[in-house]
Amino acid sequence: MKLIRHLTWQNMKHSKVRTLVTVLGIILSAAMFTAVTTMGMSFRAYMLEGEIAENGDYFVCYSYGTMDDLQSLQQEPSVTKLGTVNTIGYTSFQYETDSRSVDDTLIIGAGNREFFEMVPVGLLEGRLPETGSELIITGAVQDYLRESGQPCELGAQITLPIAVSCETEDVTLPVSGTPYEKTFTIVGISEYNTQYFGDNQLDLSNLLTYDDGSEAGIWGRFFVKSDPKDAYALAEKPYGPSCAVNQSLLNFYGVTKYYSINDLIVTFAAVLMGIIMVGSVTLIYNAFSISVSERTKQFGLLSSVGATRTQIRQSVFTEAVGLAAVGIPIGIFCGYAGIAITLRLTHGLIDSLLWSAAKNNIILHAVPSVPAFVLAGLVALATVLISAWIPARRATKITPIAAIRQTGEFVVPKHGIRAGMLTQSLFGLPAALARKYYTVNKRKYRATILSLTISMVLFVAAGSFVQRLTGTAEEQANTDNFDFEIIVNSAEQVEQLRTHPALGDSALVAHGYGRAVIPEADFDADYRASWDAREQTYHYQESIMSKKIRIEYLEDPVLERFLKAQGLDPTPYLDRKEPLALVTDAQLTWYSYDETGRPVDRQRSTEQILRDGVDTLTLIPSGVPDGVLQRLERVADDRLCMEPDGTILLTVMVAPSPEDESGENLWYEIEVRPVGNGTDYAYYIRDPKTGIAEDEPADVVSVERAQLRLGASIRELPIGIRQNTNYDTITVILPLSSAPAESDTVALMAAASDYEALLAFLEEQDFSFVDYLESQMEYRDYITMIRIFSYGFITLISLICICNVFNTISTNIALRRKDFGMLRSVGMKDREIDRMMAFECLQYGLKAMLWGIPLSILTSLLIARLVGSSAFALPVRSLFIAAGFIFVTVFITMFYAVSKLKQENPIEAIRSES
Amino acid sequence: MEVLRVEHLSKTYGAGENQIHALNDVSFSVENGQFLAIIGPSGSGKSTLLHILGGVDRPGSGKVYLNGQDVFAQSEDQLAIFRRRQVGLIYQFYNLIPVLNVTENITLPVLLDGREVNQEHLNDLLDTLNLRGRETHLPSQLSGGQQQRVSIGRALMNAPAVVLADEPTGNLDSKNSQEIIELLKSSNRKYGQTLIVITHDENIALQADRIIAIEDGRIVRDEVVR
Repeated sequence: MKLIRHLTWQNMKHSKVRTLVTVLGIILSAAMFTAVTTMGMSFRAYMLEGEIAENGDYFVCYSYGTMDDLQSLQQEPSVTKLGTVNTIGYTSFQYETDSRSVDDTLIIGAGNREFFEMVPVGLLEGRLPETGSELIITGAVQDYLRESGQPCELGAQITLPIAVSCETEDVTLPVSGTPYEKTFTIVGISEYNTQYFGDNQLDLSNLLTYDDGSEAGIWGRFFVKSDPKDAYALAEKPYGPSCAVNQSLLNFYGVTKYYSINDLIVTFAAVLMGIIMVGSVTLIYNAFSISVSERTKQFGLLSSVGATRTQIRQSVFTEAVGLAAVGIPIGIFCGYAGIAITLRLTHGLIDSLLWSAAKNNIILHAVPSVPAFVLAGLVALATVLISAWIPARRATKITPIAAIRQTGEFVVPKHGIRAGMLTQSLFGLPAALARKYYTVNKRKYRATILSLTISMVLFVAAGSFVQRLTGTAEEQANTDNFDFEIIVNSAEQVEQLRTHPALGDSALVAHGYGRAVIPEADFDADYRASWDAREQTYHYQESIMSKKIRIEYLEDPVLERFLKAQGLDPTPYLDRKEPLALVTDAQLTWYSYDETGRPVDRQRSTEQILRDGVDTLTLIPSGVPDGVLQRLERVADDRLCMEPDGTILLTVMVAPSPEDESGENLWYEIEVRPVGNGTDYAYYIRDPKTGIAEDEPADVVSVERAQLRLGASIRELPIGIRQNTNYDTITVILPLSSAPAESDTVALMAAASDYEALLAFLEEQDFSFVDYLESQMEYRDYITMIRIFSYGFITLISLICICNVFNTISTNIALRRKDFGMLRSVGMKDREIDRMMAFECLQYGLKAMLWGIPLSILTSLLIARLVGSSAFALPVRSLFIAAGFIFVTVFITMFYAVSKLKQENPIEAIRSES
Repeated sequence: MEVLRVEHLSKTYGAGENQIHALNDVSFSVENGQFLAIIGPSGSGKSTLLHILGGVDRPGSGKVYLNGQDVFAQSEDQLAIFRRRQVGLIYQFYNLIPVLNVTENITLPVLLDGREVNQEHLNDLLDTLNLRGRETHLPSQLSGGQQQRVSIGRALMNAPAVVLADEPTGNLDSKNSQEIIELLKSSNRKYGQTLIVITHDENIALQADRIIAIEDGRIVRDEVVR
């Protein structure tokens, strides 16, 4: 319709500011949506790259598979990529030097092209092997070669004797072929402790060469990629005796074993999008609503001259679509470009914050996602159309003359406008006027209050969302108070470490182990209740009574300091002969399952294990003693419990002999009785038929420590003590001075004040250590990312809220231009106008609070529920900030808008048409 | 021939103790081509009556027949078309679309109809209204008198059956006022349109064919003058 388009265009040109603000609103909306999705996608891509670089690009890994298994696997239709590293033989280094003697056996693995693409081998120098005569060696092997006088640099040629069988204590590997020698060229040096260079079961490391078919594989590891949904199904198939699923990679594809986590991610995304959409809708709706109410008079005119409703609505829609056509593409572009530029600029900053990025040289860059753009466009368009429709409808509902006169907004209450009488006597006329305006113009004011309320709720919702996000991520992270566990062999080493500047707090710790069978009544009631509630779903093998005891011998001065800090008298705890033991609370993670056995929820709680008042723990030997093993043979499982009369019972399961094909497992009960003063325990096997114990014990075993005298239960931990996260373990702390002489090695548990420096120092000095921080880095990365994202998100939402408030209020004021002119022409002082405005601000603010606070709390609750967290804390801080925001914005906006009106001549305002 | 018939028209505003009877059981009819003046004190309901006749306001009760057709029995869309073609409404405060120029404002009803503008008719009107040379001006660039003439042009453009004018000279000086009335009268004579004018200017009322006086929402006098 030419006229309509012309009219619309003219209107837009005429009120340039209004048009601009509306387009801005659309741009902001589309931009925000795009920015958030782009950020999300970029983060995901980044973490995915990091994950692949760190742990490999595969979903399922079969280990110890035979070459037949490999052949079958190659026929498997759901496999999209197959990387193999086949063991072609073993080689060993045996020699002695002044400082050490070496006896190490290594696997020679041949990896195919896909293997080197899928699995990170931690190459430090050189390159990957391309033929079967090229080799990658580890730094340790380099040392072996050097110490045994062989060449060990890149490019060097070495000849290794290769055996094709290998026997270790636990496993005998398949045999094929005869030993031989092979010459390799060293083409690459790799890291010390790379996952695939270690073989935990065999305790052997790998040398890697290329699988060009020149040697036959004996057994291998097969790394498989498939459609993510097929991963778990594939893992069930027998392509190797041992199989592992790379859950951390699958997480990125939304396939998780724990349904709740998948749901969680989806829920978070949905909540996020929800918040953004509400923000966008209010912004755009506001812009249109105001634009339409401004033009109500004009619509009335058009209607009186004969425009049909359709034609009027067409006008509104034409404007809507026109603005959207301009605003949406610009918005999407700005959103994406904004993120791309931000990431470019903060490239250095972010990558230094994130450990996996720095380590693997991955850059966080903006990833364009066409589906995201399309979605953003559609959502914005839908918002625009809806936002245009409602006011358009409103404009056509009233009679044309009412629209022209614009008295439709004024609804005279039955009892007249008596409001404000009280206010007048208290605060004067200007305040009373403010009250009257409000009472009469309810509809318009309600729209403003609604806008303010929504802004507040959005802000608090965003705050809660962010808090939940961070909370969930932090739950994943461990909270150990140390970073490294360093094995120390001498006091000089301890000195050397403690004087190093990169070392922070530290404590010497040794470990001891024991076993205990504790009567049910001795457990804390809450712990027992938790256990019972979860027992049927968790399928515990052992009864609650059977516990492993982990004794941490903590350096005396550190223990003493800790005890004093906890308000406990250290003397009994430091007694050399009979020290009191500190019992630590356990930090347990409980999974709950639904009827089908699918995990649906996960909760963490910290529990006190033993009841107050229990002050001794009797220790018995661990495991099944040799004497019993010899007697019963083929013991496959063992459990401990206590009979009602206090007898400790060890129940063992004996597997049938190989010849007995139809044989079943047999269960034997063995009484464990203390001998003498409790330092020894005798094992009496009960006759399976009569249940009576034999006269002679099958074996007698001593314990390291007969009894533990228990002191206080503590929740906080001293440095160097790990959190107890096992349901079957109780951790107690004793002074290091009370540790038996033959106990385990002593380690220095240390926090790093400079992680990089300390790590370098430890490697350089050839310390044997465990880096706990490394595995935590991943979680810390998540948390950092989430924090960055959160701040950005909250900023955006705040911007939107401010825009909203500003838009609504400044327009409302502008519409009352005539009123102001009239008031001033009648003699109202500027100061009195200010008073009136202040009162209106208060009204707005207070009314917005009245609705906003309860709604915000409700929304926070809703978000907390959705996210599945039982812990709910009132978002007090967010509420305060939001309230402050609202008041400040309202005041500033109002006074700014009014100041402009105060500048003009009253008569101009009175006469003005629009 | 009867062109307009009003039966028991009533309209009230407000509720309870604030209720106002703007029109209280008003009935009359108008012959085709008649020049009718409606007079009365302010607040007597004149404007309300005119707006209802023009289809821009709804009666509380009662009926209005234009050319035998029950005006308010129509659907909204039909009513809109009715407003376009059958009546021409001239307001006291011009009520022009501020973003359209003179030509566009005048031809608005025709354009809304989606029909071609009769250029000859338009030029004729522009001449008669003395608006030549100002076709592309916006309302804000015109004086009061000029704006009123534009709104008259708008009312006449589609050659409606009835032209309704609400105090068309209320805001004009005496010279302009007389010009406007001459214009309306000549249109009334030339095109045979029925003309209903609300006024409280006696001079104007005396130029009409018939005078109806309204007070407190009721007709108190109905005189055919010539």
